[in-house]
Amino acid sequence: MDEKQKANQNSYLTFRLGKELFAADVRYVLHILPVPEITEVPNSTDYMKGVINHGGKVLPVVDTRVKFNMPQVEKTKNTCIIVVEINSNNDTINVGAVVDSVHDVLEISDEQIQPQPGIGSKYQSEFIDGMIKEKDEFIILLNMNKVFSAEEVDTIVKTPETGNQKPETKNQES
Amino acid sequence: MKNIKISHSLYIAGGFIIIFVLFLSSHTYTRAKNVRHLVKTLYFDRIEPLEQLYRVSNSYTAGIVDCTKKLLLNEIAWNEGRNIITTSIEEIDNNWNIYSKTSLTEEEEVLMNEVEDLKTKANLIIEKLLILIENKDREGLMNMRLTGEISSCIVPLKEKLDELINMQIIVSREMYNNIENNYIRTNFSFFLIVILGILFCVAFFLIIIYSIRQKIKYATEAIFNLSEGDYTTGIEGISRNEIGILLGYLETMTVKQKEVIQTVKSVSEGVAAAGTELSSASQELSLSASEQASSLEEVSSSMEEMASSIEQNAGNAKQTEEIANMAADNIEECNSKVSETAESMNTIADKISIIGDIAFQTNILALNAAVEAARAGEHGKGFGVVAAEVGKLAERSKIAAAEIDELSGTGVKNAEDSKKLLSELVPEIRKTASLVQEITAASQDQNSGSDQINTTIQQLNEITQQNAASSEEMATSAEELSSQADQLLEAVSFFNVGKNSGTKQPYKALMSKKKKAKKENWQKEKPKGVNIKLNKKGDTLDDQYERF
Amino acid sequence: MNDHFQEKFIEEAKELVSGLEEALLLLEDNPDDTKHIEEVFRVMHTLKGSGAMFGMNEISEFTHNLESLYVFVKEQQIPVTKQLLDLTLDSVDHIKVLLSQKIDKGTLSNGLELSGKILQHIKNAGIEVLQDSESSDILPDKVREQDKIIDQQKSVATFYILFKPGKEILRDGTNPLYLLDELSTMGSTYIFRHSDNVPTFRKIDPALCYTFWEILMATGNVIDDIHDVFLFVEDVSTIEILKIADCNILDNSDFIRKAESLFVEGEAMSKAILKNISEELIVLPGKLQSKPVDKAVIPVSETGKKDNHKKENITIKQQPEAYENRGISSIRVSSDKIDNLMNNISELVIVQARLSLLADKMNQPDLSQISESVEKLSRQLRDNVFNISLVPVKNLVARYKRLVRDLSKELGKEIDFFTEGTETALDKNIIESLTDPLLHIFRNSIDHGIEDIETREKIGKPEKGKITLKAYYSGSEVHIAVEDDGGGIDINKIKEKAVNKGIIKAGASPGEKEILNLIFLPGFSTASKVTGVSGRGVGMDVVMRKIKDIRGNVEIDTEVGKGTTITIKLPLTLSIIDGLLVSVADSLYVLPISVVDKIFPVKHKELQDSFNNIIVLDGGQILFIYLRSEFVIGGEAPVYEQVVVVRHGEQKVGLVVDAVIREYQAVLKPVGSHYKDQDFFSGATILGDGSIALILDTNRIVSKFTNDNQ
Repeated sequence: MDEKQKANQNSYLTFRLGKELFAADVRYVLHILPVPEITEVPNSTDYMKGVINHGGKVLPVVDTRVKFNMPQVEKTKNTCIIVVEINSNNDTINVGAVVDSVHDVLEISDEQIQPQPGIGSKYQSEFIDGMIKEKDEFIILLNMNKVFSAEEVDTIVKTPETGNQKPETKNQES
Repeated sequence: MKNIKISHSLYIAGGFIIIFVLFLSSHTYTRAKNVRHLVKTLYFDRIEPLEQLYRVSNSYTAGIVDCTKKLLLNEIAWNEGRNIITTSIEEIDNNWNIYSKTSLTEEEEVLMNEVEDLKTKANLIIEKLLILIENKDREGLMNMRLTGEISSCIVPLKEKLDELINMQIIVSREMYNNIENNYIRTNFSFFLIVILGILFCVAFFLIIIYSIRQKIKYATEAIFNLSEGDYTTGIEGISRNEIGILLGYLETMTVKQKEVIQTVKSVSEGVAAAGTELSSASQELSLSASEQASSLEEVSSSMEEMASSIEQNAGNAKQTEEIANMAADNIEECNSKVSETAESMNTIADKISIIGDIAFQTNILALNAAVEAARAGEHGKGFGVVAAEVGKLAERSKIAAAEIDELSGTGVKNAEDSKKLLSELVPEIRKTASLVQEITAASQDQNSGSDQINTTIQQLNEITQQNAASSEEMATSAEELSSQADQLLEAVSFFNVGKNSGTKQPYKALMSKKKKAKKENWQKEKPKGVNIKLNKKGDTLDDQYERF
Repeated sequence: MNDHFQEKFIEEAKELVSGLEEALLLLEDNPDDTKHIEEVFRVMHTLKGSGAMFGMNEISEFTHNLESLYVFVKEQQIPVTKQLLDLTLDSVDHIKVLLSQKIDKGTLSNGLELSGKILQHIKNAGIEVLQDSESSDILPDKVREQDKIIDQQKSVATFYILFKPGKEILRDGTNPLYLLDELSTMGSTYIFRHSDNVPTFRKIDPALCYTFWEILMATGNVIDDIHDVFLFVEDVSTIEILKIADCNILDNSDFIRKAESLFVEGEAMSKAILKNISEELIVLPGKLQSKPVDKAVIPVSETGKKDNHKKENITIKQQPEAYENRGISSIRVSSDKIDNLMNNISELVIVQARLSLLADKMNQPDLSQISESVEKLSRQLRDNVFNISLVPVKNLVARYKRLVRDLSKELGKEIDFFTEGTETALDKNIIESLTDPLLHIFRNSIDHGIEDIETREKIGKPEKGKITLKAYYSGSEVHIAVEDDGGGIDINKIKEKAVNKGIIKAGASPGEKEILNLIFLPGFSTASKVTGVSGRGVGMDVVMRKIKDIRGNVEIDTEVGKGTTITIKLPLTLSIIDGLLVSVADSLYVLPISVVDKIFPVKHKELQDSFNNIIVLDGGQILFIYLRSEFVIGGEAPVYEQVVVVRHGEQKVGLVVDAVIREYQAVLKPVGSHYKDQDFFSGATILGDGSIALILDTNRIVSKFTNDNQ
């Protein structure tokens, strides 16, 4: 949220992962796609689901569930890929994020955004820009640059003991 | 002895005689051969050497001594003398050689060696003599004679030779004695053997003849018994010779005959009993035939009633069948309609899923549009509202589609269920129809069946009357049969087979008693045939029924 | 003139300047060849003309002086000398600076100085020059005369053309403006536009053509040539062509004025009146004045239609086709557009693959036929676009020719520069990346390679050194070699230096190649003296790095006393690699075919039983990497697997895959920085059916494997 010169209203795309509702600033969102065939890239970090053909370009896809330390689920009819454009290392990169379902574009004024409660929150504060309460439901506002950064992120979830297990690399050789 | 067959004992006797003759002749032959050998030795070893020895001795004396003398006396010329001497020497040598090759006794050999020694000495002298003669040395010759040089050697030689000659004669005599002895021994043994052989043969034949006679006698007795019809005495002591075998077969024959006779006996007893039973049975038969006739009429009337009800039944069944078929057709039609409905429902479901997809895609599009609009900021606001509306519409159509999908799903399921039920129903109804059809067919069959039954009953009645007549005839025949069986029993009773003989009499008595009783019965109840006409309800014949 | 046109002009002018440079260098080699002089002159003329047209007055004026000079050269009043050429080349440099639009005072004074020099040169040649020392308009008459000469070299006539396209013409895909452009190439034109009939914005149907044009054109072509332009639109359009004068009446401003007065929107002019006016004016020819510059008038100078450069006089080793078909046979397109086109085609290929699949499924002969045609077309299209993005090496040549010339002069050496195979084409990105490395190589060759004249004489070599730039295809690679006949590189010297620097141990005896490769180490220079040109040891390592960046390689061949050849081996393009499509389980991968040595089918069991990942193939022991386990892919291996033997430096390593599918031309796409840490892939490619195959980086796979296993 480096440029807040625009009014105090911003649009957010809400999407669901498991039970939780997340919001992404639409300025980062390029496109929403149904899930195509995903080509896996061997020996990559486990939250990288693979690459897809997005309009003739090869687009890396993040399994957001893994990123948020949720159990993997079967792809449903509502599963979508959100193509986001983020800044990473002073470079603009595109990446796809697999989410359970995409909901809505909401207009939210800055006043509505509450800071994340420091205690009792599941996620590391640097990944969260804030919380929004909408119709009895809390929407978690994500810091897209951080969450989908190309840099290796240890864990978004606060409790590290349930943290990411590293993929088993190479049990090769006799 | 008992078990040896007659032929075998005859073979043994003949063989014995042959052996005896062979032994006899061979004995005679060896004896004769022995004699011949002795004679041959006598001639070749004794008589011929006798001559040779004589010639040797002669040559010495006549040839040499005489010749010397003659030379001295000039009776012969030197040359002649020499020739005589050489010839003598040659002869001596020849004969001596021949002699020395004959078989010699030990004494002879001793003598011969002595002669040999003397002969060498004599030869030296003779050579000297020959030299003198060659030289025509009369003096030397004379000298020799005078000194007795010649005679001193020739005389012992001659003596020895004579001794040899004598020995020949002695040996010959010994040999003759030997032959004589031989002859006497031969004669004795010959006569002994002949006498023994004759004695043995006579004894042997006597034994054989005796045994054969014994057996034949036994057989004759047995066969005589059989001819008398007595089968009780069995044939025992069966030996293994021909007679024995004959008796064996005879025994088998009697056993078999015994069995046959017994069978014949028991069968004829059975026949007699059966004849009695038969006659009583045929009486009962004629009685029941009358009863049958009356029952038949009742059957006939019931059949009539049945026929009419069957007809009614058939009509109803036909109607039922038609109704069932119609129902089945209707249900089938109904079924296909249901199928069509299900298909349509499925199509609807398919289409609805497309609508669902479209709604999903529209939703994504709307979201994309909303994102775009939001990114465009103030300018995109109006568009964003539209996008949101579109999104809502998409959402609503998605929900509607889902509902329709669900409804059509239930519809399809219901349709499929009812289809299933109906499909199950149709074969049931069809089955009913076909069953009813079968009933119709069965009723018709029954109808024609009852007609057939009627005619059959008619036929049955006739047959019953015939049966009554036949049973009477049968009774007569049965009686006859009984009497014939009695005759047979009598005939068979000639054979005494030992067993059953005790029952013979009482059985016969029983039979004759029964026979009498039956005869009385038959006389009393002679059945009369009944003429039944079932179709015409024969009330007129009711009286006749009552009589029975 | 807006920025857009100026930009266009600058782009074109740059091309012209490089053509000019090239022509000058050719002229230097063949000073007597009038053909080259004419070419130089022609280019200058064009430059001057278009410069003026687009408001680049500095260029126009400066070139004007230069052109004046060459008028005399052409007339052989001034001989072609080295001095002249040096002066010209300096001027060309100045023009370049002017074109760069970074004009400051220095530039301007430099320009004045050069102009002075040029005038001086003309003067020196003993030619009377009007004492007008201002840079603006030297010898205008002379030049104008020259213009006239050019224009009137052929029997120029003036035509009136009415072009009234049919309303539906746009639907046929015809752009009437292109026809007008084409007319413009034939001569000077004066175009009147009738756009009266264009309806209001609300009513306009953008698919219809509402406009028509009247054109006055002075050209050397005959009336049939003009007709040919309209050959395809004749049926649907109204075309009238009328000769109104036998000379270039358009130069006459009176005529133009009168013609303009005749012009009424929406109505065709009366031809009779036009003709009268022209005849009237031709009677008085002396009144020619300067060219009209009018907004509505677009004069286009003649450029390429004069076929006066025939090939008869080709005697030299240079590529004479350098400016042979210089006509408008090409158009300039920005590379972005080509990139876009490439992307579109990639998508087209994917869509086409889906169409093929669908056609197969539908089993309809018509559809299959169409799909096959589409397939063929899309393949051709793809190849064509690949070709478009290829640029001939020729574009590099002029620069280095100049470099050789200047540098050799500076160093007091005499060097001939030859080229071979400059038509060899390469991806434009590669060409761009080559500039700097080649510059280093050339500098090295000129500075260290070629000896100075005395030394050469001493060792019996010809006085003039020789540098050759060769470009040729070698398999799927392009090799660019710079060959010199200089002193070569002394391997012992390198070794000595390496030992001194502690790079190799004193006792070690590395191979010749290895020693030579030391040159590519940073900070390694063998030059005993450091000159301004090279010897600072920053050259070769930069070369190597830059070439490696574009997936190329550099090799050195040298012989002491004979010369050195430095060969740059490059892939044809950055975006396309020739690959081998292989599969492991369900995944597809592409191996660069350039590293593949051989392929062997091997029983799975043999591989399982092998000891230490080594199997014997073709009589040699080969280390193999089992990709299925390396990539942690599950599943059952087939009975027979394929061992693809790849070269890794001098080593050969087998990569075990399930099946080799076929060769595949892969368009390389980056996988994004999210995968920057993975070790196995240099990128990905999109297959015909839209799925993605990863491109294996065999070098990294092998190095990682061997490192891991140590």
